[in-house]
Amino acid sequence: MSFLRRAAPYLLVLPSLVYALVFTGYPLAYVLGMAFSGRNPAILEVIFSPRLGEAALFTAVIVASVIPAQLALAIFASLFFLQNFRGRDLVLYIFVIPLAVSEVAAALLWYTMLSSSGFLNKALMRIGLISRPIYFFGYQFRDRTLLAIVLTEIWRATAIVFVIIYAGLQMINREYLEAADVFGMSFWQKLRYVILPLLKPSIQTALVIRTLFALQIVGPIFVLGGEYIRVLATEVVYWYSMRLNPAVASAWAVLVGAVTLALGGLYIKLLSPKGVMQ
Amino acid sequence: MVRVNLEGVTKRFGNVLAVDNVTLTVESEEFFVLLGPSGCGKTTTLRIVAGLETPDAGRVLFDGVDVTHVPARKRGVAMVFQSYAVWPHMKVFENIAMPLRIRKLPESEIAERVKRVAEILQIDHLLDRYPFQLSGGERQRVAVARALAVEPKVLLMDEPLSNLDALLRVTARAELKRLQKKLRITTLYVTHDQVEAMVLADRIAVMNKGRLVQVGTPDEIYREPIHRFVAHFIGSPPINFFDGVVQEVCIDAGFARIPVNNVPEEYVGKQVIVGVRPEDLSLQPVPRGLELKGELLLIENLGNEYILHVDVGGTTLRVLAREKPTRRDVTLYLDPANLHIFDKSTELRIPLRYK
Amino acid sequence: MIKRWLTYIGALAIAVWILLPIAYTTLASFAEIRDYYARVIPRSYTLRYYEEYFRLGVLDALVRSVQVGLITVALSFIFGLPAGYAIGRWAFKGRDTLRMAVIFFRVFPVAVMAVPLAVTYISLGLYDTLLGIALAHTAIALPFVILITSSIFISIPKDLEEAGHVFGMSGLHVFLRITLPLAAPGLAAAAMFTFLISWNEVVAATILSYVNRTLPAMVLSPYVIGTGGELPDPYKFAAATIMILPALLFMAYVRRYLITMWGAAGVR
Repeated sequence: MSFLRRAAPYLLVLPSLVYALVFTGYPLAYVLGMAFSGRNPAILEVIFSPRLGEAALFTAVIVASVIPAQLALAIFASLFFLQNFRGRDLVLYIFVIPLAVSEVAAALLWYTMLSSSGFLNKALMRIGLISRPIYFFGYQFRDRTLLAIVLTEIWRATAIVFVIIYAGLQMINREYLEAADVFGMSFWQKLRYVILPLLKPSIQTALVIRTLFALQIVGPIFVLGGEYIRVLATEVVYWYSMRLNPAVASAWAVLVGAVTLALGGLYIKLLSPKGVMQ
Repeated sequence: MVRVNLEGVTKRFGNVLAVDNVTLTVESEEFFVLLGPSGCGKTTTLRIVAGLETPDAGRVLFDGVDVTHVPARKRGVAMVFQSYAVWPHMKVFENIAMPLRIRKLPESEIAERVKRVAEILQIDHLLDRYPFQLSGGERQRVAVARALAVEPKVLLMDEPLSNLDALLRVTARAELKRLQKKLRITTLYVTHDQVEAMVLADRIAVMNKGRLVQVGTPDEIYREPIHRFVAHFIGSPPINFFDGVVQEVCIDAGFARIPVNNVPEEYVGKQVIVGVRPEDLSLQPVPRGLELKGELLLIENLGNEYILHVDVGGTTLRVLAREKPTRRDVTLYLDPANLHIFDKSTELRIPLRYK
Repeated sequence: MIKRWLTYIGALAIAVWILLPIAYTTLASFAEIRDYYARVIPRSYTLRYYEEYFRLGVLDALVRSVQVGLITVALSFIFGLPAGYAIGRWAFKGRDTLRMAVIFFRVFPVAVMAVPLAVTYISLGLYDTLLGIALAHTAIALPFVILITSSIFISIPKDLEEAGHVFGMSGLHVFLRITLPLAAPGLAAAAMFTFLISWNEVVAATILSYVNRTLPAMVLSPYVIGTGGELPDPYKFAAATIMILPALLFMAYVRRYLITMWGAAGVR
């Protein structure tokens, strides 16, 4: 083969590779530098800052609530959509519409639903179930705001997990499930002994992707949580755009990166399948 | 052991009538084969017995009990799937044991049954492996073991041998037959391979386009096919057909006249199809036989036999012969008792006898 | 029987769950605000909030978002399409490592990327420019483009291209006359998806801009800056509706490709 033919793939890939490395390698080096350098490294300032505890806590709460809920909903939705019923394709399509909706837009949508003059409150008052609105936003209602944020994320991003799981489910040979039927398994036994084990790779992919991106959402936090709820990612934006402090912002970015790496590695370690799938 | 009845079972998929009013009985301990080309409805019928499909009309009965609407998991049947459906994420032991666990048998008995069944199928040394580590033939035996371990009322098999290579298929076939006789389980088996059907079955049901065409023992099906389709489907190489017209004392096939006895009046003038099997045509003279002179066109060498393509008066007949003829012109001999005569329009057998 | 009913109720519940927030917000954006506060379903409607909102600079932000999106699509395809083709078509040493690398780049946090970029941009004169934001968006979208285009090319049977070679066409010729036309519908969907990534992106857009904001950045910035200059309700509804519109259009177009395409890319 001529040199050109052999080199062709590498030549085609090279520009993207360089681009990606520039936009990841350089920033990575920079934030590490900014965070750790100087007499008073910004990273220390962040670690000892009172904001860290809160940001970490809220990040953990949100991620820990959203991920399991999305996973469970995605699995049940996948099983649900395996059935054949009239209008199924339409409903499936509706279910995945949020895939294209941004976090900020989703946050605004749920503001419309949950604000004191929003749909939920107005509807409930109209029916007479409540006489005063249920408040979701505001410092004294922080818990409910968290709920609103979690709800928004579930609304928006379950479809992402669903698409991955659903694709994985369709790849399971139907005869494995029929054999389970013939040999006596009930629905829950089928789920436990055949479906879930065979879905493990998809679940792993979905968990990794979802968790890592859940760590980065800022839209719902800012829009719904305003000043009183913060997560690690919002701190990056806050310290740069509001407080104009690149060093501290970088330090927070390092934290985000570190947690991302740690969680990613943890998932991969915990979920590596032992028996091999076909 | 259990007797299975199908009464008027019908199943549609959209516009397609997959199973059309099938009624048959599988006797207790019988090895019953559903035979037919792809799309004839045999697999759908099997799945209806399994409970994986519900018929649109008709009933399925196990020993007289109506199980038509009982879900698969409650029927107490076992099935060997065409793809084996051996669960890939469980070891062989687990695969066989799982259905027993579901039935809540005690661990000790599960272990014992698995071991016993694995020994019978000679896979006891593979119990600790995963399916991906096994060959196709070994996986097939796991699937059979799983089905037998349950000690099912009815054993269902969907073309379990079709994914095996030719040599393996022959030995596996014999093993299956031996096992079934020994364990005396009522078995319903689906295949498109007529040799398999003939070898394995106590009785065969030939199906075409969703309908039962003929039910009988292998001998009956082979010797007395009641429909042209059956005559054609059974036998390898396939039967020769040529047209003829019934006259008062013979059938006029153009190149030959076949003398016939006692032709009932209503048959005179009828168009018929005459069938003769390649193995029933001979190069050696046959007592009271018909003589057909023809020209050799082609020889197919099977090793121990030859298929000769002979042109007789414009019609090409296939002949199964032990020796190769040395010359172009050959004379074929045929005992007319071996003729199968079918009505051209109804395609059903006509009982005409040679003089 | 019961199972049938439960299935239909489930289907209805899903549809309402997804559509209600979208429909209600869109409705609200056209409603007279006092009427909206007073009733569940408003009776009087107006376009004036959109008019006012546009005059406030939202129209400019909208235009900027479109421009950034288009630049992003162009850049990501210029870089990503050849790479996707190479990965999807040829088996070469290092291909699997490359695939892994692409996945790694995909999960790289934007938060880490944005701040250093901002600082660098200032010295390069790229800060607060559309090009600057588009460059960052391209970095985000590149892995997706590579993954999606590679799976599109994989799905085109190699035989078709080989037939072209046998009959005398050069590699480039085959690509332009055979491969590209076959890949076109999938690529169109991928392009729209890339546009959408840029359209929706808010973190980099906020950090990398100051005055020349894209639409999401403009909506977010009052919350970030915390000046209490939070948008009044009617503008919130209008903003949401405008932001969702391309998303809905996109989803309508790709209805067919949905599961296969996203199964491959494993979307955000």
